[in-house]
Amino acid sequence: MLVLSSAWGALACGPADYSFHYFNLFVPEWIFGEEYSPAFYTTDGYYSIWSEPDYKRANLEAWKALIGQQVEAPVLERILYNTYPEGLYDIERADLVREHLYKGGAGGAKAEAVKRYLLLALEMERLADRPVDSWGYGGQERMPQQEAQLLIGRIQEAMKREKVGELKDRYAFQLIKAYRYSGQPDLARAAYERHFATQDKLGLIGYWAMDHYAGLLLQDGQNGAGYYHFLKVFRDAPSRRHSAYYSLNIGTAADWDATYKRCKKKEDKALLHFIRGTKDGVLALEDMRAIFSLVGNHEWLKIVMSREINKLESDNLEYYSEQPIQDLMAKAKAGESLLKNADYDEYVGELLKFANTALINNPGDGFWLVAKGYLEFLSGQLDNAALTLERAKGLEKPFYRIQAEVLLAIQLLQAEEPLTVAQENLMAEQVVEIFEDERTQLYTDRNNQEFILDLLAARKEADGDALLARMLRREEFSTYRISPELSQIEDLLARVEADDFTLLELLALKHFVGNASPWYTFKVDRATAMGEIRGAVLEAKARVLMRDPARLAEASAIFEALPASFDFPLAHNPFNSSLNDCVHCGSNTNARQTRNEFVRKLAEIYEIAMQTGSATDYYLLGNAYYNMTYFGPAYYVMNYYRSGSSFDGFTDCSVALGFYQAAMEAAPDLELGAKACFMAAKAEQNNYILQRAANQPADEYWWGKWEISTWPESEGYYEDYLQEIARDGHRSYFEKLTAQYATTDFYKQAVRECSYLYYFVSN
Amino acid sequence: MQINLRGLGLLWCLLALAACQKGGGVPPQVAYYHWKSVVDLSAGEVERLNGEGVRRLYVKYMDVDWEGGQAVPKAPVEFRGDAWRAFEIVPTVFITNRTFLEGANPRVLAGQVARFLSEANEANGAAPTEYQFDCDWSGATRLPYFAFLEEVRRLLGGAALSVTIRLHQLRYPEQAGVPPADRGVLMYYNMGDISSLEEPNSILNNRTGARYLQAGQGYALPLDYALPVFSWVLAYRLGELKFILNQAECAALDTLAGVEKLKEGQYQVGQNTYFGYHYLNAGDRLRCESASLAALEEAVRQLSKIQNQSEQLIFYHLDEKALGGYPPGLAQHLAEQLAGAQ
Repeated sequence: MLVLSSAWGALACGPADYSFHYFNLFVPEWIFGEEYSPAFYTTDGYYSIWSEPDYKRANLEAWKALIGQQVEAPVLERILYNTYPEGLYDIERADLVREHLYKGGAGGAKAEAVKRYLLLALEMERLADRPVDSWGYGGQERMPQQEAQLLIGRIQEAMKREKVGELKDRYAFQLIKAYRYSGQPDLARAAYERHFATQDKLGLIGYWAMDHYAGLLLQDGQNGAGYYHFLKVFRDAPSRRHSAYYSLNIGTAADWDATYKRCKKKEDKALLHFIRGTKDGVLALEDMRAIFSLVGNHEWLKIVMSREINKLESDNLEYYSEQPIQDLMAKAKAGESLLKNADYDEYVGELLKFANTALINNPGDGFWLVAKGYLEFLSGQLDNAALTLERAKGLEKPFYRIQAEVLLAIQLLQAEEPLTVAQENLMAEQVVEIFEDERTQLYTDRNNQEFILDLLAARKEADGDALLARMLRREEFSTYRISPELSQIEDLLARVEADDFTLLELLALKHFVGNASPWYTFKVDRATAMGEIRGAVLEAKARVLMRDPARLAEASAIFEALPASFDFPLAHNPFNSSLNDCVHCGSNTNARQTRNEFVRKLAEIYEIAMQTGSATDYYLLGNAYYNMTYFGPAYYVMNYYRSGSSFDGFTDCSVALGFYQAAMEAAPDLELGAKACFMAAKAEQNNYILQRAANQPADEYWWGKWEISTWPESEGYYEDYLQEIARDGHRSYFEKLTAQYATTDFYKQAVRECSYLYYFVSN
Repeated sequence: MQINLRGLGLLWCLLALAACQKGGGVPPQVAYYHWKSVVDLSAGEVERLNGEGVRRLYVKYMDVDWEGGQAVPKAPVEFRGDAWRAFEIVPTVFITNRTFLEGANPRVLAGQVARFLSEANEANGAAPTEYQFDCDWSGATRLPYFAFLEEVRRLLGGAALSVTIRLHQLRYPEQAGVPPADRGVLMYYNMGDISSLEEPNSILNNRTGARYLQAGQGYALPLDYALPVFSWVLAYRLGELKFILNQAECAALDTLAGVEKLKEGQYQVGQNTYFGYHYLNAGDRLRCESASLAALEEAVRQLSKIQNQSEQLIFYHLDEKALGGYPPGLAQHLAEQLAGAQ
């Protein structure tokens, strides 16, 4: 994000786009805690705490409790999770166990028992986690039998010897894994049944073992028992819930019945319905009815409803690009459903009935109110949705946010008159408040804020305010500044020089220029903020004006009038020429001048050149205009960015070429003429590259194709290109150089140091 | 489907006799695709194969797909019992187009696949003389796929190479290219629009197929043909295709509680239920598809337009339950019909 008073340090890359194809207004993360996995949530980028094998670090905490105060926590983490904390990554984990686990090398029988276990567990991990030879027939899915049997023997011995209960459990867990991975599922099951099935209350490791046991039961065809144990893991285990959830994939009525029968408690039955109802692709209405009849208005019921709504959003809504917004507005205007077909309408109708019933039975529950309102919205009943949502006052914050968001969407979809100042002021505050976007990033990974902004943009477009519409669509000043057009800048300037703004305009402008200050501060001290914005736009205007040497004076005047913070020192002297271009080669001058000083000087030189026709001044102008293009080291004087993969900004070398031509014609001696001619040849070549890049089909052009330094000569492109450029008539200045300036010292130096010229004269 | 097997069996014998008497060409050899991961031929399957004079099985040895940024093998074949040894095995590999679209190096992939095939053959005592590759390549993947074929042919040292050809590749060889193989197998099935609720039969739609075939058209490779003898149930939920129930039997839908028959082959789910290892929801529409006898015969008539003498008529795929819906002798009958027309 750019700072308003942009320094000369131009950025190499432009803005990025993080759009997804749909948006979520019904945001479960606002309503529910982190307890449930992203199977239930909506965002692509949501980090799943559940996909961690040790959810909430339960295993780590269990070890800390076992080992006590003596444990070196970072060492323990490295041992358990194979992480690489500073200072420890060079040490093998087994050595960490032996030498570093206990503070001060503390010992004792328990410490030795812990170490013995951890060392054995590391061996087990090594065997179980061998890389699989996926392309070999048969792969390596099982542990090597001999090693497995030895390990199993050692685990059994250790279990017999072990007195610490928690360690005995852990050995039992390793035994189950060892049996399983060595292809002995019967023994693995028996080990679980012997050691864990008899325990009244299972600890963390007991549930990890149960997760394996459940899988083994399925393998053995005991599906009811298997699924039921997965259910228990999901219900009770602090971790392993992710795998239990995904393993609960019941595919037959017999398996469902067998599992259901084992659920003695209503909550377990409800949980089974919950898991089924939340699976991808399932229509969860029947499961919701079952959950409701079993456990009433439970949180699981709401999560399932929330998931149903999110599935509807995913399947029916788009917002990426303007067309879906236009389509949505057309549907809203026609009173049509926002859903894609009549089947969806029918299903949503059923969901609506359910939500309505739930709301009637639980009138104080904000969830059902917003769910009902949103379902009405999706089915195109905007007036009903508005009535539903407006009647609730004082909702709890999460529900209030959804309520406000949907009401705002409805208002924008239904608006027919231009937005009033009061409406725009209120909407701006709502955008910041609903999305808790104090810094006006105008981005959420659920795209709901973007959706609202796109609706606002469509409204402003309809109101005839295209510029504000573009800003609301999150266009940024940084994009304008990649390849700015004077007319665009002047439109913008006219806007920012106005006397008065609505809060919506301020909000849009704030984001547009990349202002990251808190919204409250920005709108309160808007005079300062707008001053900075005006300055940035004026600065951009001056840079564009500079492209035309005849307007240098005008540009200089603008620069001089800006606050000092807009000026910056130059690392290069644009008046210096060089045989070979090097954009990022660091400073090429000891002279110290600022941008403003340079532009002033440039304007003066221009005037002199116009008045006197001085070759030297023309040559200096040529150098300046060459070096300030994309191809020169002082590109940052005119350009805010320099892309590493496309020709953006001020690229046109024709201005420089014109000055070099004038310098050649006026040159008092051959040496100056040679220099000017050579520089003209460079400008001519750059213009040729630009022309070819613009006109060649994409699959025949790639970045750097004609950069002589990047080709090995054997590739052949080198030769082809250099012949092409000559054939297409873009070596006129090389021709002139060799014809008229071959006797000069400069020419001789240039032939030695410029590969292109060398090739030209050699061929 | 309900068929009077006895009556039809007699009819086909008569028709077969008539075809022979007409003096048609040599009928192509009947063969089957075996597409399950476990090759464990049942007595019923062996009987069927022997009864139809089948000598060759095209056995899928693996799938290749793109996952986690690389090409990965899936569903490796496992041979059980010895019944399969009585047949000539043609190892077949299915490669998703995505594998090449995502940029799999064709030469590296060829090495990996060739290695797998060799190890699988060695482990099971198989010595194939032909291999087949099945990939619905596109314009964007033509070059890497063809490069793959060149390289794998070289690595498989002397064995014959056949490839599957789809209708659009037959029809537009200039755009699609002709793969570097010894033979092609034209897959004359799955040409319908499976995503459409209104599609009459996505497995075998001769009307759609006919658009790709022109009388007298040829192909740069000698072609064998593949026809479908399978059924499936397509489940549409909220108007969109939700899943394909490959394991499902159409007849079971007639008696499944909570499912109402709308018309032949079309059902609606009235209450949530399980079927074909899937959970069906009330409102789901089910369409049961299979290739009817008439459609298969029409398919043969269509295929005879192609200027080609097929050596194999391959049926997709060998499954005892699915084949139970077709009378014994059907495969031979179709082969002879094709011979008469070629």
